[in-house]
Amino acid sequence: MTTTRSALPSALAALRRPAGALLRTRLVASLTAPRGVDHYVQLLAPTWSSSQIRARIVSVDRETEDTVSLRLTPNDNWLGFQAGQHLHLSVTIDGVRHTRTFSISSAPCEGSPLRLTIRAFPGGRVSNWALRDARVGDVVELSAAQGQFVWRGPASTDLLFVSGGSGLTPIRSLVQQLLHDGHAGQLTCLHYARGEVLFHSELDALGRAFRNFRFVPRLRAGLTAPAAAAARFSLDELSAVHPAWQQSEVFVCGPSSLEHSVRDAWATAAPATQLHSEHFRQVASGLAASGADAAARYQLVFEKSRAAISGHGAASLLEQAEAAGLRPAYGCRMGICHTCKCRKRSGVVRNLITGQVSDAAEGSIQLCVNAPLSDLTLDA
Amino acid sequence: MQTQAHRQHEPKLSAEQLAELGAELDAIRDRVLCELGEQDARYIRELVARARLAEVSGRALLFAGVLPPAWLLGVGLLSLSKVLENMEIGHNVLHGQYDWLREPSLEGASYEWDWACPADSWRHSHNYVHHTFTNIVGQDRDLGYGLLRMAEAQPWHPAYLLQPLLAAAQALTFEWAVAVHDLELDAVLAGTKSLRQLLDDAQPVVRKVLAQGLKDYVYFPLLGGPAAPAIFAGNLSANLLRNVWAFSVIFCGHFPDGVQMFEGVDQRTESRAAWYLRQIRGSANCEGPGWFHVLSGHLSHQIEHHLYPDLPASRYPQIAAQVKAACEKHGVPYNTGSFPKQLAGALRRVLRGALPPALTRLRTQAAASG
Repeated sequence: MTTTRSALPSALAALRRPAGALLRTRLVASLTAPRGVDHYVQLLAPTWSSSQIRARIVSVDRETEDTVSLRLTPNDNWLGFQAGQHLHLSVTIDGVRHTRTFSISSAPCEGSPLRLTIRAFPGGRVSNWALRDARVGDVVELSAAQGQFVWRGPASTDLLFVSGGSGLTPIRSLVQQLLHDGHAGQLTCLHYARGEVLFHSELDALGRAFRNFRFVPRLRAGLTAPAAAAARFSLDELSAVHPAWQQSEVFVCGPSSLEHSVRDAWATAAPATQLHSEHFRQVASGLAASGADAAARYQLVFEKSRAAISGHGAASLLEQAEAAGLRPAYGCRMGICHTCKCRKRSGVVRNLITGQVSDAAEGSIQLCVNAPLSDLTLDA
Repeated sequence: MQTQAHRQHEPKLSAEQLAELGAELDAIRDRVLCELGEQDARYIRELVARARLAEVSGRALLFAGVLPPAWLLGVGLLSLSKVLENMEIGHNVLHGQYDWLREPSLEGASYEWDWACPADSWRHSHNYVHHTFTNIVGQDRDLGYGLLRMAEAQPWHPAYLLQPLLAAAQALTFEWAVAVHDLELDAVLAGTKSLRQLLDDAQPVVRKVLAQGLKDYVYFPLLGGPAAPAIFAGNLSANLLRNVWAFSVIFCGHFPDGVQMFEGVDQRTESRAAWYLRQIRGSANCEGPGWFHVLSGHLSHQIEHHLYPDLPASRYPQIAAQVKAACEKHGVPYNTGSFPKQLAGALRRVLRGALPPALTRLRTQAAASG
């Protein structure tokens, strides 16, 4: 995947790679240590980096009332992606950096810029930023593309895609790429939506253009309760839409309720075929778990110590880890020296000094002054 | 006479008063935490950008350093950038003051600063040892840096007669003195630390000192070709200026007149409020204009810094009046004065510590735990 050269004069653009190579030399590293060369080059070129993937937003398009697509041109550190993969997007909102995971909704065959399609939900920091505040020209940071929600099997296999809401985004990428690559098997896309259907006209058009692709949207908006319940995934529904479903490999992406019902159906009815799933979770900005339940027990995973212990909300994580025989690093034991600071991969904690409740996203916490309010995974 | 006066003013707080003081100080911290936001983020990011601009332009000017005005301006800008990076940015970022921004380049646990002492070693010797055991004789290694006699409770030895010279040498080489500080050479001499342990600990320090030295004294001069002598001299001058400035500011933090030293405090059983009180009594502020506070990394607000080492330092001036009011309410002395006055007090302590106790009395009062 190549990067758009935007408005740079071509002579300058030709110098970009040799300049990049020079900036990555040991001499330059020595001259710019310990901050590193990125720190200084940022003065002139905010998207250049020796190693980080930074991208510029080149368009912001509303897809539906609550969904937006951002087109991004990444720098040279972006190594491309496979259809169906996702990435971590990091943006700075009100001075604070937030990182969330999004599927790539464009396909590799569509080239650069790549596209993320993001649905905003109430309380979603990053998704609402994307919907309301993202502007053309903003620079964001990306991770490398990752994930196994991809198809590497034979082109003759029938594939069934089941999606809910914005879970359609990686499937749209997969379908575009597979059709571009001349996939011969039948591609069926069963999609559930509450309101407007994402990529509706585009997928309908693909259905008309390709004999082996069918797009079947199921809309719940405006339906009465029994009809809305019927517009949920079921084996009956599936048999009606796609009678040969048992011969298909299935890709499911959507809310966990959808993933579970598809998984259950497959476990009983078609255990031989493979189920690929990609779940997404909405990380609201905390407080959901603020009511500390004295009797609640939580599973605390300490990755570095390779241990999972049972914990509670009444004592610091450091004390609980030590009581379980673990030996995480610590210093002052009162929250001032930050020696015990570690990454919280997931979970909610409460600060024992301030009473503040964290959000559920990845972040760093001090073990000595935080107690769990949910199951936790810690890099400690 | 002053010694007597200070003795009379030592706070005698009841358990209730102490708890009340602790609660008031906690409340100040909570209020700041609630207010942290975009303006703090903008402040530190703009400061990082300014320090970077000062460094780049300072180094560029030194390449034209054969012209005296360019050389002088270059040294000025490079010194400024080093002071900002080391004090208002590095020291404060390393405390985790900006961790809430979740910005990897401003993360306390991974930041590496542009001076000789490796950040890892600093996080241990400063963030943990100094800030936890502040001014406890025999526990706070910043109390004389294993080199100087700064408290009456430290036994005198004739070698201390040389301490004014040692302090002057330390000021000029402060960057290296701090880098070596965490190696605990004094413990090796005393036989409580093995030579092997010293060699292990020394490796990262030697690497960082070399990297910093090569950059300023070999690579940049060589890159300048004919300007090499001017660049070498310019970098040396900037480092010396930064060293003397950092030494002066840091000595004003805990060594001016009236600062209390502690003996026999068991930090593990100390309450949070008692820890607060020790931080207040063991620290001293310097007064000055806004730019002075920024250039000192807000260590001029040493009292506020020691109460709240992980709050963004630019907030200290805003809360100083509240901290002072809480102190006055409970009769706790709040040590503040002009920079020259506090520095003179710290230097007097260096001179007095050099002399045998029979000749002089240190103003420090080794006080038992409260």
